[in-house]
Amino acid sequence: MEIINIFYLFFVFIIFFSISLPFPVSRLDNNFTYVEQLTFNIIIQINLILFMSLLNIPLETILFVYFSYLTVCFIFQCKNFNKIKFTKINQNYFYIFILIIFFLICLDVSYSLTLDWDAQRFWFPKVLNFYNNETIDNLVNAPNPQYPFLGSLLWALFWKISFFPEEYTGRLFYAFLYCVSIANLTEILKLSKNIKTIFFIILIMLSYKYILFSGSQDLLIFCLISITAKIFYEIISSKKKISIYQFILLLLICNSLIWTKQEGTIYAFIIIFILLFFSKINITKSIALLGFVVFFFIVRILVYKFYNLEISINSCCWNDLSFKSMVEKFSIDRIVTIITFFIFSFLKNSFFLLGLFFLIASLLSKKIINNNSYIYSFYILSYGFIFSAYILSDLELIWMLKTGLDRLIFSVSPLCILIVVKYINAHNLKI
Amino acid sequence: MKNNIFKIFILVSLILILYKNVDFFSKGYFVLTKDYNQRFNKSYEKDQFSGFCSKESHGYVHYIKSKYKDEAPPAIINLEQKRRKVPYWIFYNLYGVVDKDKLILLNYNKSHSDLIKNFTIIDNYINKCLYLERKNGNN
Repeated sequence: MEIINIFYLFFVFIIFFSISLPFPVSRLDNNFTYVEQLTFNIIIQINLILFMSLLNIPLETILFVYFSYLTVCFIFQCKNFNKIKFTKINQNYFYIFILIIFFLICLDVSYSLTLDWDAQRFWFPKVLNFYNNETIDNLVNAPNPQYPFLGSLLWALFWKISFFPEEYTGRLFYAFLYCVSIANLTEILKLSKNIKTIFFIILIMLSYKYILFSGSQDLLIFCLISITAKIFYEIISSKKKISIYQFILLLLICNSLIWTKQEGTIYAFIIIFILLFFSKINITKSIALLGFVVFFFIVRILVYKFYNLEISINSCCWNDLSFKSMVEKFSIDRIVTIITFFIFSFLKNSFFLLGLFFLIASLLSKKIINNNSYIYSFYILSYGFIFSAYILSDLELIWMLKTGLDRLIFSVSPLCILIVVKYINAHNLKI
Repeated sequence: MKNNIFKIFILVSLILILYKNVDFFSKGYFVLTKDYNQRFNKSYEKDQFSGFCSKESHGYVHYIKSKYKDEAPPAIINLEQKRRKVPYWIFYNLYGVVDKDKLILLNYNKSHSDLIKNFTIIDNYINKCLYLERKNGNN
């Protein structure tokens, strides 16, 4: 029964996310691989679901509208069926491997089942709010109403459409998104499909742990940053102009980040900052990008204000942000403790180690990869933010570092893979 | 051709290593042969913060949920000295909705006997985890 449910959900994900918006930009295109199309549709659809939830609509109504939307798009797609080229889907067995990996993760999730501390305390009560057909204005009764809820909303939605009525079925969407986002990242390798598949499996082997799927939202941040990493590579490293597809995708990723976790807002602004300074986007598009992200952030504040949800930054951990207190917190002891934990977290993060290995390899081969500054800048800003969050915290520092730092480092780790990809592509490795 | 066979060999080997790392076959067997409730209890028995009837006692709470199928979750009190989270979420109800006429006591010992004097014991697990219902007329 549960195994059938896993296959059922896989086909639901594949069918739902293969359906595109009836606009030229989102149709299956010769230049898009199927994974890229899936990624784009996922981001569009999760933003659509989010938008409906902001209108204070209960989940069953959201599902009804969502199915109607999919039906309309499907009918439109069928009308243009002869224009859609499926050759790229049939060409290789890459997708079979995605299914195998997805099935493996689903099986592990359905075996392990446990929810982690954050999920039990913060995220699952929000899932229950939506699952029990309540709207966002009732989130005020859930713990930490200031936390964003996109991940919980998606968890509840896919739990609802599953025919096995246990919560873990909703988390299988995370597994699907994880597989698709890593597969999407491997698409930038200029190698054969076989090697891309091997690379995909290696990345899964290096990053997969059950704890990531135990309900915390860092996995979603990881997936969104993986998708962003590919766009960074295409725009900054390949020095191409930003396409309308990438422009929309970036904006929707930033919006998703803002609604996924508190720190997602910071990451969204870091992404835009990197694009503004390191890509060759013209001034109009730069202003538009920044303007839209500021607009999304303001919308979030207004929505929270409208529904009487708390707007404060994480009230658990930063009570006193006065200048005097901030100066006091910058003690040598605290700085050394945080740096020590950072080093241990880096050593535990396979993507970071892999990136470091290839960086050293490129230096040794005297073919120093230039144009990496956007990756370093992204990490300086992200780690700087994480460092500041810890140093300014009022809670017990060591406990916070032990329980949270590995996850935070993991969630921004996909950009390290760009160093690997750039090395392989730059050295024209013939495998 | 040789090159392709080599790549496929690498691919299959990687998949097998991954399956071995995740312990796919024994987990697959477990998922196929044990129902959700058994797997849930087993998982939380291995959890460092929980057990069937120890620490946060997810297993016992889940057992009461699946056996009595109450619409609203009973009030849950964990009597362990160390502060523990109370896993109301297991009932899949809205946050804060509780049936105050029913009570689950976790990590109970006889020093707390006055807590149960107004209740009838419906389920008792080794005198440590109890499921109680309020006697009629007692508030």
